[in-house]
Amino acid sequence: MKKTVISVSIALNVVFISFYVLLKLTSPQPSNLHIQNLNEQPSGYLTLKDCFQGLDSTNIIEGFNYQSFLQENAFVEPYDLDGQLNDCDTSIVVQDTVVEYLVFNALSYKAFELCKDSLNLAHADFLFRRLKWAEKLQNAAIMSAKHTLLFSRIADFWFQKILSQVQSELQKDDNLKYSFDYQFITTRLGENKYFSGVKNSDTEKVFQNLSEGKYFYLWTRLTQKSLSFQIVIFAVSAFCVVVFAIGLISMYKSVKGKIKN
Amino acid sequence: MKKALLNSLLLAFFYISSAATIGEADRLEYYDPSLCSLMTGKNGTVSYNIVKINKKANKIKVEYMSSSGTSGTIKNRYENFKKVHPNIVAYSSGAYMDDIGNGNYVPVGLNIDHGSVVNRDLKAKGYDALVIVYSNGGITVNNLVNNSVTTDAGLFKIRNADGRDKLSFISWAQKNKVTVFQTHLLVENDVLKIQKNGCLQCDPRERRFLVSSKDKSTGDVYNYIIQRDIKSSATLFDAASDALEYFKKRSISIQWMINIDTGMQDTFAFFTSDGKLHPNIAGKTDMSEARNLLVYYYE
Repeated sequence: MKKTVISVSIALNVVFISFYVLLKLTSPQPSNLHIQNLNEQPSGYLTLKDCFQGLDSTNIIEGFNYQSFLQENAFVEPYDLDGQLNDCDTSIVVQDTVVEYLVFNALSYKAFELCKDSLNLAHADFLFRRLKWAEKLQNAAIMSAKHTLLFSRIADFWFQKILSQVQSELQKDDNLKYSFDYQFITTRLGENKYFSGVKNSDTEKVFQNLSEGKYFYLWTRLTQKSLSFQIVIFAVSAFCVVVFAIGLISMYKSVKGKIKN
Repeated sequence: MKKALLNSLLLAFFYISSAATIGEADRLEYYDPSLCSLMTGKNGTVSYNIVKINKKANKIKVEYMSSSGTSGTIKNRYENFKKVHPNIVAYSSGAYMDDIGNGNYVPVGLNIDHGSVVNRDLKAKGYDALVIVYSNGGITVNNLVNNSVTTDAGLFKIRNADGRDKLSFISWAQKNKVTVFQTHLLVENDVLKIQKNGCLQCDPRERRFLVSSKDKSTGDVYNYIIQRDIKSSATLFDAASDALEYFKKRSISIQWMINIDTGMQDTFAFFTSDGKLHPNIAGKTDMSEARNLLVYYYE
């Protein structure tokens, strides 16, 4: 008997351990690769100055190759960008405003055109990467000696784009407000003073007001707004009046009967 | 001689003691009643309560509080403000608020509170009125559809795609401790600025607007807070059309008319010139529910 118990126990242990090993091998391994990617530096160094090769003040705006610049610099580190811009200041014979115009265009509208399909909550990693980059720019704007306004403008562009994107997605699907990605992105936006409000359904508003103890407000809104609610209130009131009247009549009758007796 | 001296001493004592006891409650006038009045009006079946404020010489000033600041609540901030500026004429909830979760609310659109940025989100559509409240108590409204915000520091095209003017405008507001908020522009220069099919605030409900007009003969600027009768709920379009018609019938030329929030923070009060709260003018909610506040005060 004892031997049987031991062998069953061993057999069960073997089964459990095998099952555990199998699960371990087949289950997807949690990876932080996407987080690592967020912090990756651009690999190549086709700098702003390189993109200006062969261009002069007559053809710089038309001839600037946005695509080549963005291939290397779409998520350029702000300090690197600051350095590249300073480098251009000393070596490129065009006005600073022209260079700033091109850089702003490249890192805002042109970059947005290239990534607009990925700039949504379905690609939350990418959205977050953009947001983080915009935050870096915003912080670098304070530190930069010459390019404060440029960095702030690019950062503002992306904050507004990300905000309007999450807002438009929320309009299509109200339940998104409960998703972690939405809450995380909007919290980060809020920290940068870009706020996105949530729209509550009528039922949610009722519960919200109840939880906040706004009974009088709730009563005013319900009686003012909902015709069906008014009908229900009228019906309940009418019912009460009728019951009260019946009670009064029966009381009157019984009192009258007693007096007669 | 002795009697006369005694009499004058008694008189002086009486005068000093009576002067010392005149306090806040004994004040007869909190503001010049010729500068502000309460009117009632009717346009068809719709009736209005209207606070008419003469902005002549900027004696009645505007203060806007878009956040509680360090006071904890708007009510506390208002109470603190009242200690310094006791001659309150009227107050009302101002900009629309967004629920950002966990019982927190933030004004919709670009919002700056005495130079401190509350919300940087410049609404591209719908909220076309950019209201600027200056630190001297003046108030102006700019139409963002024209993309030109006129200030004493020049013109800012804040909806420009390059974002330069938006940031310059914010810097200017921060430097000058200016207060800014965005809301619906309903009327500009007697022309209705919203469309019926735009479905902007198409839910019928109580409405309150802030209006500015200029008397062409005297040059005086008037601000009106016009409150539609609470029983006659209307969409924003219908309410704005009715109000415009009301003013047109009385030959009052409107410079601008903007929308004021009457939702969950529907706060409104008017004080008579003797400092008493007018019983007929009230919002649905108490001051404690206010998330932002537009205050008119006499100074």
